[in-house]
Amino acid sequence: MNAVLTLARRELAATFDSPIAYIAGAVFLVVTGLLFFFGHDGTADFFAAREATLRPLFEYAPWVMAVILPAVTMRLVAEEKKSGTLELLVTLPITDLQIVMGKLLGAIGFLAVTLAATLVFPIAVATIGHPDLGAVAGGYVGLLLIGVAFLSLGLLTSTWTHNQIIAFIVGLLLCVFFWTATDALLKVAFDRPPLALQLLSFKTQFDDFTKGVVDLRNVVYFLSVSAVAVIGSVYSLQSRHWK
Amino acid sequence: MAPNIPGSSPSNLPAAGKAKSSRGNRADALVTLLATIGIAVVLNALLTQSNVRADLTEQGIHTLSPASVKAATDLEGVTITAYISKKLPETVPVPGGGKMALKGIERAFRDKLEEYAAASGGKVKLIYAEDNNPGIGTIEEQAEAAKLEPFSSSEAQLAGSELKFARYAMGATFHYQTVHEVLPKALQLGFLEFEITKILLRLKEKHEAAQVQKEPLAQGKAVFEAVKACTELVQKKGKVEDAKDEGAAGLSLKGSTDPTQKRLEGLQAAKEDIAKTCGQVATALSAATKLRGKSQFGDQLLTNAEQFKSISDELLQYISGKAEEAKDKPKQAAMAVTQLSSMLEEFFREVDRAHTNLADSPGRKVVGFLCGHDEFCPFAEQEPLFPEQAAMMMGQNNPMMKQIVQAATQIAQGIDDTNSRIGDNLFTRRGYSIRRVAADEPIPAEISALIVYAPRRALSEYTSYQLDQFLVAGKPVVLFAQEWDAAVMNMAPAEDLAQEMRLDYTNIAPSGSNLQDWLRPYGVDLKRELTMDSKHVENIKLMKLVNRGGLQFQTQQDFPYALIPVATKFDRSHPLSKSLESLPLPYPTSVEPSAELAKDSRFEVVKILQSSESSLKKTPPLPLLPPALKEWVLKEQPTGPHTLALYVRGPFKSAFSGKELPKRPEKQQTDPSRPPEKVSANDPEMQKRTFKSEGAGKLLVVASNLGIEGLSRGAVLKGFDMSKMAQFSAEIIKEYQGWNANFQNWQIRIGQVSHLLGDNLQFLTNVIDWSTSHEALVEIRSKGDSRRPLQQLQDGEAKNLRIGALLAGPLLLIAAGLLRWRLRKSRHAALRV
Repeated sequence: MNAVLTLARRELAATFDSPIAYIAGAVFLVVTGLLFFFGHDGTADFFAAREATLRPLFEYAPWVMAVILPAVTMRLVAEEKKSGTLELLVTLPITDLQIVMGKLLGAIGFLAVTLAATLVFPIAVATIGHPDLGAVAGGYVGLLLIGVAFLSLGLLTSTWTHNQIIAFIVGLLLCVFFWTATDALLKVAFDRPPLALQLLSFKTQFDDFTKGVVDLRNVVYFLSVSAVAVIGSVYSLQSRHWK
Repeated sequence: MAPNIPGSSPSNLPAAGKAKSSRGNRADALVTLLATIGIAVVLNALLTQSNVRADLTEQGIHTLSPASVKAATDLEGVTITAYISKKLPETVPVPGGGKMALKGIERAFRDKLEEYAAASGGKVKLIYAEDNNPGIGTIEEQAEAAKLEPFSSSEAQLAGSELKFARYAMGATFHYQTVHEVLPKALQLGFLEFEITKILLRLKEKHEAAQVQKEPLAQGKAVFEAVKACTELVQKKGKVEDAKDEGAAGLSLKGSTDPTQKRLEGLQAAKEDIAKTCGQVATALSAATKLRGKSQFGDQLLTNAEQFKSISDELLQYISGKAEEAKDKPKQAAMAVTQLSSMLEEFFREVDRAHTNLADSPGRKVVGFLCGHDEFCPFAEQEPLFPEQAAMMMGQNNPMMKQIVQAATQIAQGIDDTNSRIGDNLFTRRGYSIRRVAADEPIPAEISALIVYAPRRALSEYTSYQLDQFLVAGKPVVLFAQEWDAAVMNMAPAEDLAQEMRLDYTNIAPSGSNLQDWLRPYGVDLKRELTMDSKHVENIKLMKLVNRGGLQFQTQQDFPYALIPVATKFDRSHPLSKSLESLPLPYPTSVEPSAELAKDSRFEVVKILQSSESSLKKTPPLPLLPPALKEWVLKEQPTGPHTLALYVRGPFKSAFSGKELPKRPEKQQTDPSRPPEKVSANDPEMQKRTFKSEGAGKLLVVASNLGIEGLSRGAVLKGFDMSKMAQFSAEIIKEYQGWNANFQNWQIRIGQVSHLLGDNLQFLTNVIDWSTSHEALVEIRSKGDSRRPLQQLQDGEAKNLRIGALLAGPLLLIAAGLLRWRLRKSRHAALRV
């Protein structure tokens, strides 16, 4: 466990030593903020709607996360592979699982910091109204879980290639697919998507959190996706021994 | 960490990696990965049946309230049968042309029903209707048979060569002992708990009351069954089959090609059976002694059944060839039989409706709405505007007059239709039993609670006395006050005939209500000043003329409006305000307890709704257009909070104590040809009246009409006088234009606050539930739909807040980055040293 935490701290420090964390964080905050206040087409006006709710934030933030988080994870393994530092890392007395978990926890640290910075929105709303703080807390729990799932998927794609751009693009596609599994992509393929595929959608699983409900089914779902992605990443790293 | 995973062995132990072939490693990895995915899928699949969750919302919106749990545990042996279509559509159409997404609704409905079943500790049994069981049809067919309301999707689907809107079902039936209730459509997630708990409470009340009314209900059922059997037999025997099916059921006779003749022949062949079966109606009617005069629905059932019986008797006359009019005229007899058969079916439907109402009536509380003072009265008028004869006479000599009479009749009809629709949609369909309480008439004994909704004319002494007696008898009286008639950008009333109507009429005038005087003796001070606010306000929607490319368009624009203050302070001890977060009140005044009432410990006085600290009170005149009013209000000193709704409970003393009892006024006739109806000195109502001096009553006063303005003949057809109408003059045309404008202005005013009506109607229905002692329901409904408004921001404030919130996060992040960079730099410098 100590090894994982040490690695996580190292990763988090490395993330914040590079300008990419600040750029990604700032872009996330600005874009989420703009979407929160103006809606996706710029016509909605939060203040004109006159309702003390954070729903628009929880509606748009996962979209932005689906784009930003693969940009954060793309370098986690791909960069190490390209620069050869991965070989150095694997010489340390730690398992591949510990490497993956350490890197993931480091990325989760970045996510937590960025999400914490979005607290300015509920604070701003609370100065002029009384939002349901329970529902806000539920929304944040959901954002954290969906963020962890996105990071795991991004980490998985980062283990597949040396090229960060490819890792980012594949990660982005995976995240967007899972986010809108039923709403957009499956519509093309199915007249009415099967229930199993509907449940695959992060959006379907995320809805309850935005209402302030933390449902065990939704929590387990996001953790399952993350677990599968983590195990996948471990074997992807292991695959270097298979050649 | 997971030492058994092959890939989890330390990577620097080459022996471990080399011991296995790369193919073996790959196979191990694949198996483990597939196993992980399999475990994840199984775990998720198993959990689909679980309902473990934490509801973090402040009011536990998504968790059953204690009242719901109690309702579920109070009844032993309730069976809920849920009807849920296998494949639900993505959207369903909603009134007004929109669509409602159904995503997640099925799961939420199942979860909610299962939550009730779990909370009941086994007392509530939940079963799901199964599709295509042999003999019972599809879920949708079963739902229809169980009197649910199947619904269509927004999009039509291709079925063969036709486009069809498929039908879906999502609802439930609830059975308890001998009674049952239906949740016809469960599409409003926010109110599912409210609807289900309401049904459970209703089952209990209904069962208890049905035990008391066992005999009349059984007699009503016997009458209905007899009528049904007669109708079904006549339908069966008189059914005209297609030529191909002839002879199959023996329902048609060979040789006849005329369907009416065929029907007659079919019925004639079974005349003895019909006489015997339909004769049961008379038997059931004569046995229904306990039903007559006991309830409105019972009487309706008997009246319709009696009419049914006379039609069936007549039909039998024709069938058996005894009808004088059709003797030796088979064609005429056949026609008459066809007509009578269809009349029979029509009356059967009426009997069915009355029986459904009767079976549903036990334990249902009746809420009265006072009518006759231009208030909100959700019923059609009982008398036509023009008696038929008078209308014909007036239009005889003057075609212009004929047109005006027709148009005025149309307006009156429009008012009646609108009011009955409102009553039906807002109350009857939602399971409330409402009744008109006419002005200057005694309040019927069946009324449990009385609502006086924003009268704009003075109550007579007699009506005041009736209200007084109702209150002191301990029954709830709810008053909504509308002390001012406000018109903002309305249709200008015509000043001369040539003038075109403009959309700029802005005026405010006191309404003619005397609620202030009525309330005074009970220690309640209804103020006349209007309450307004500078910060906590809602918008008004105003029509605006916009010039685009030389063409004028009408557009609607929202303006924050000081005369629609939002109540922000609530007494959390009262069920009506316990869960409220905000309530906008258009054009409110205020209401306060008198000093004596406030001091009197025998009374419970609760300020249910209050305006914010930034509110103030002023008596008109004042600028009414939103920008000018806003500017004006900002200059005034706030004096808030002001009480917008007050509840008083206690031993009220009659305001008529020691006074002569007011007499019931003579009823005015709209038909000038008939003399006014005299109230006899021996009026039985006056005779039996016993003077009640004191009692513990419940009085609720809301100082606004909530934006729900009454639509009445008196308010629209201002100055309407039948005697004036008899003599045509230019004045009448002008008056007619005014009526037209008044009708349109009502629509305009409702439209201006239409966005508030959803929440405000919730409050109104809460008031009705509260007044009929269903306080638990009030709390549940309020938590389902409690809007949390933002306060009104002044110019620039919103912009500053937006910029601040947008920049604060990124700036914080960048500042942290700079700090980190500086620290690293200084650390490196220290290391170099």
